[in-house]
Amino acid sequence: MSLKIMMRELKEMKDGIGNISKRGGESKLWRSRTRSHVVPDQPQECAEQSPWSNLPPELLLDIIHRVEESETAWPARAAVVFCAAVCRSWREITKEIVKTPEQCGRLTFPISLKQPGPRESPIQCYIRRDRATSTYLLFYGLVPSEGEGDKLLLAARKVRRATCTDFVISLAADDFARASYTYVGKQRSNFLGTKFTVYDSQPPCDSMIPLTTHRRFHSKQVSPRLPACNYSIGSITYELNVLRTRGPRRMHCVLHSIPVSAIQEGGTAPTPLALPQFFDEQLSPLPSSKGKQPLMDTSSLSPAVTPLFSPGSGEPLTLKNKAPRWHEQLQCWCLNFKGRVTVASVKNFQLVAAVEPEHNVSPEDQEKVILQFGKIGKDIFTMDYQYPLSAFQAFAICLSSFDTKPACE
Amino acid sequence: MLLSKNSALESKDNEIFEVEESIAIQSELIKTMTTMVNSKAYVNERNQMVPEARCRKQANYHVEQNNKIVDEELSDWESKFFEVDMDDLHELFMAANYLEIESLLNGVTKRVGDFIKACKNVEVIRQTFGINNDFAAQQEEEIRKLNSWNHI
Repeated sequence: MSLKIMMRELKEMKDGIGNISKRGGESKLWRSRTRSHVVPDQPQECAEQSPWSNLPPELLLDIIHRVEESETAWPARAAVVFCAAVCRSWREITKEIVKTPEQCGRLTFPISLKQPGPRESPIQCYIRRDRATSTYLLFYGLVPSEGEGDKLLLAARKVRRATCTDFVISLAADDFARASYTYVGKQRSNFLGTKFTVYDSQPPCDSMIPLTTHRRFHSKQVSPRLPACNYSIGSITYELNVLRTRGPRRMHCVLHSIPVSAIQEGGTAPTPLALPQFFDEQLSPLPSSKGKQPLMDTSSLSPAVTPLFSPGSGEPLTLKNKAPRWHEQLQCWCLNFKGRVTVASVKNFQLVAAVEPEHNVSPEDQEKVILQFGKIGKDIFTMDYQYPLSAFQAFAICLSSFDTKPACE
Repeated sequence: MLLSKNSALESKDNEIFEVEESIAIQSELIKTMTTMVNSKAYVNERNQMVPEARCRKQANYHVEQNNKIVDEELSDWESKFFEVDMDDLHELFMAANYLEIESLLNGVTKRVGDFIKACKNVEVIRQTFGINNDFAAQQEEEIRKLNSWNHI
């Protein structure tokens, strides 16, 4: 480099302007370093820092914001997650930018799976069943795409026990260990296969749910790394069709972690900010989330005192399946799945809110299909969910449809 | 046809550029400084500029060319213009930010975003931008685990 440029840069050093490299020669060294992709093993000095590591925050925000806006679908959206893993400043800014599924309709970080979906239109997924391994995989996307490149969201494995059946739900398709960091929750059926309980490995934000402690675990000391409790967040019951004909069964789903107020005007549903097994994962508080409580508020959780539902908005939300109509000409029961379900099956259902007049829920909101599930092919089912359900809750509810016994069919 | 007035702009390293006024005021900074100094006469206004000569020149070049070329050629020209190494790109970035030239800033930001999107993983992003991993070991491990969820 020319003498003139070196003199200039030395002068600028004095004036303290900008973020340029301090020595002309240094800049060249850094350039060749990046091009050869060899990270040298040297002690880090200020002079060796690349100018990009000191970007003004507003510029970095602009860059990452553009990446987030343009990469909305997977697998390209992985770029946003990578930005959050580069370094601390990048991580902070990325987390500021990324909104919840309710706000933007997109899934980004694993915590997105525990957050309510969008209010006006559903997030569309599909489930692939593997009978050989009793595994159920939830993918993001309308239908399976060619090339098997779809984004896996959650995986479940059916485990038959003496008196019940469990579906263990995990972030990874090859790891269903209870102690693993990928464990998210489970769904357990009763012996008859008529009642199912959904358990979450983390307590809901608003501690207003019945706490059931499994006998193997204790609730007081919960290591942030190892979820020691299963928290019952919902239950699903199936009832025989009264006439005991081949009519559709009735489903009832009580969501302990979501209050009725969530679907009232101005209501919000609990939105967790981080997964418990990653205590450093705290996102910046969202204005829409109701209780900004600490992630693991173990002091308020004791088996003896389990806060039950407070009157009014504290009542849990109940969902019921939309009653199909009998189609005289086709001689079958029909629901309008809007093209998302194409094979008739007793497993197919649509869930809407079950409310009483005193709940003050608008007719439009009462009509909204919060969860829709149905068959489109051999071992392929679609699952569309929206607010106030999260992907995890929706998946757990759908799994119950796979395990109902003849008692309710 | 209007007589375009020229502004003379002096950069910090004492190089003087003459640019058409209409181009010079694409920089919000220059626009403000010009109006502040003399509300009437724009001709031959001398302003002290801070950035290095090279940035200034490139900023001008961009703005100038931007005004001349038609749309179809513009995107081609832009991609060539931004095909610079990371050092130069950073200088362009800083210059565009300082001078408040929105179109240039947009172009650089987009280019940087494209770089990020082309990276296959976090390590490649770090190497491309020369950024150090400053996470604590434990957090690094947790992030790595979480990111394994993102692999298809």
